[in-house]
Amino acid sequence: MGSLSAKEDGTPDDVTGLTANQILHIRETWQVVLSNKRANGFAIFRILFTDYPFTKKLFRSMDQVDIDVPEQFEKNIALRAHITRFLHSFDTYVSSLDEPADLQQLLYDTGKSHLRHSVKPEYFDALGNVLMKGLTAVLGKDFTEEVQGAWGTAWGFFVIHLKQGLEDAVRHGAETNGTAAGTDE
Amino acid sequence: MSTDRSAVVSLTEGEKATIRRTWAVASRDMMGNGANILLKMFEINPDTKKVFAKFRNIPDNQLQSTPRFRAHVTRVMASIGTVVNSLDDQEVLLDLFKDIGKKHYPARVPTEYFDVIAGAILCMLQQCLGTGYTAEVDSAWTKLYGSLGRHAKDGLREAAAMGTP
Repeated sequence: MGSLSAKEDGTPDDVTGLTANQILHIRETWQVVLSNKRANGFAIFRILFTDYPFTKKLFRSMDQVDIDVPEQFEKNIALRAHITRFLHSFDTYVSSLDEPADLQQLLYDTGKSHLRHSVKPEYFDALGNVLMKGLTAVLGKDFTEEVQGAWGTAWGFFVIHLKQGLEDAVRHGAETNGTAAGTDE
Repeated sequence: MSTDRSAVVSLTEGEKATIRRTWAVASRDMMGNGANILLKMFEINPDTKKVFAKFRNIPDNQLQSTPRFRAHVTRVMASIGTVVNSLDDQEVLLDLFKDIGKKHYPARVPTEYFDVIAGAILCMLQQCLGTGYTAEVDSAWTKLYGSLGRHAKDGLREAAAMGTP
């Protein structure tokens, strides 16, 4: 299982561009993020809402929430649930870094699933900056140039397929006038 | 022990521990055990496979190498894992349960199918745990999934009522 090229001789995978070593770096540092899911999950979303305030309106009742008031921010149930789903979903990507076909499908489907939340494909670009800033905050000095490079390559792959999934869903929705006919899966 | 009548699912600390412990065993083979859940569901009710437009015509024995099937398996297992991880947070659990339902609206999944997969999940756990699948394990998971199914169906109906895509 998994493509031999990425595994054995340190060359980047044809599809993802990741080397085996980079996959290791990502997995190790991802465990650090998961070691404190609640705090780190919120840290990432705090950066999102601070740097890209327009994204607040995508979340139920976030408009009234002042992100600088911890009790308000962290008491938003819909957001707390989304952060949990986000971390677990992201975890499936990290687990699939060595299975490009699986990874691509997971990302594509995630992109597609954001149609019903009024997310636009370009919003996913914002998440890249947020991710890097979030990892810097969580990992500190452990976010070395090498680790940063690994995450950058992974994100470069992620964002393509996240956006593709959503773009296709938007186009499909426009073509069929919003009437669903069975699942796309 | 929680006897909060407004709780989404009243699990004792013992039941939560049982669920976590047994899920840890099932998680050792996410793809394999997850595939077995879906395959068992298709076996119990072949109509459930028809909802999957992209692989309904692929024979069961070829599904495990089909990316779209594998992706759904991954999501199902991740979804259960997220629930198991959130057992102490009733409010988040409710949101998770309803979201599972809402996600299935675009595919027009009949609400009864949530009951079919519930049975399939218990079968998978039986297979995984062997003699470790005690009455206590069955009871805890049945309680959890009873609540999940109930609220997922509500979520699906709400999404249908709103007519979101």
